[in-house]
Amino acid sequence: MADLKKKIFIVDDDPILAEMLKDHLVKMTSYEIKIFNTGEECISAMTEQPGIVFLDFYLNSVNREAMDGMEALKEIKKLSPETDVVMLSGQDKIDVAVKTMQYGAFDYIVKGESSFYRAEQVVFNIYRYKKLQGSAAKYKNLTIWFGMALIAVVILVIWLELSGKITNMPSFTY
Amino acid sequence: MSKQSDLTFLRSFTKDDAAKISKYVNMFLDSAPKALEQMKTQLAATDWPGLRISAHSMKSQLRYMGMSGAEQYAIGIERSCSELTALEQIPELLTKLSDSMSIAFGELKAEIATL
Repeated sequence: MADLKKKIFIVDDDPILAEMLKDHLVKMTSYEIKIFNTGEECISAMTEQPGIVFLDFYLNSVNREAMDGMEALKEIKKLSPETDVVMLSGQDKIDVAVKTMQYGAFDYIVKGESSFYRAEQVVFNIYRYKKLQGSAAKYKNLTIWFGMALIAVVILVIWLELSGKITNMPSFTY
Repeated sequence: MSKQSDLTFLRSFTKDDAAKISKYVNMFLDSAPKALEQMKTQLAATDWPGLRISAHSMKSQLRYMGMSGAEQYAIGIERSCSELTALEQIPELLTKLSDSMSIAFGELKAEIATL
């Protein structure tokens, strides 16, 4: 089963949005939530292997020299491909959303009054997706084991028959 | 000038939790003047890409504080910087944004004092 890591990182140089999102998700989920103000800080903490990262598209609005959201996305997916990254942006543009998906983002949320509820829904979707992935892997393993057991039985029957320990014509003694 | 801020969204978001409303408003009162100063510096340096990102990032904060008037000025600045059109209007937009925010800061301080 896939590992349902219970850690969320919020990476945004807007401290108010980050705090509001954290407060909202803490109420709605059982995940441990950490806030980072820069992509660099988040990358340094990726050894903690968060399950989900909410990542701002413009991480360099306060410090222009800081890593931007797209750079951080690429680095996060390189370090931890299993981590699901959800992009946050004030831009309601489909091409921006598509671009982030191409680099491996799971979803894209437009910042606004409803973004907190969308974030909650995305966390739920990711949880459900991981659970389904886990179930699929479990059934795949079961199928493989069942197939192997069947082959073993067939081989055993053939060997018993060839060695004369069983025959095609069973006889019954009354 | 009419009221420049409205805490309806924050009240609804926090379910009237006074501590949380105060926390968010105080964070805004701490960060917004710095962001405004940064925008003024960017304007003086005609750093249009930087000013566009600053205006863009400020929009969501203004929305949460119910500052729709100020948000419109920020949208105007962002659009001009993005399209590199009507750049001569940016100083006026920034002045209006600054004035609106000054009034809103006073309103917000007064509101959280009564929570």
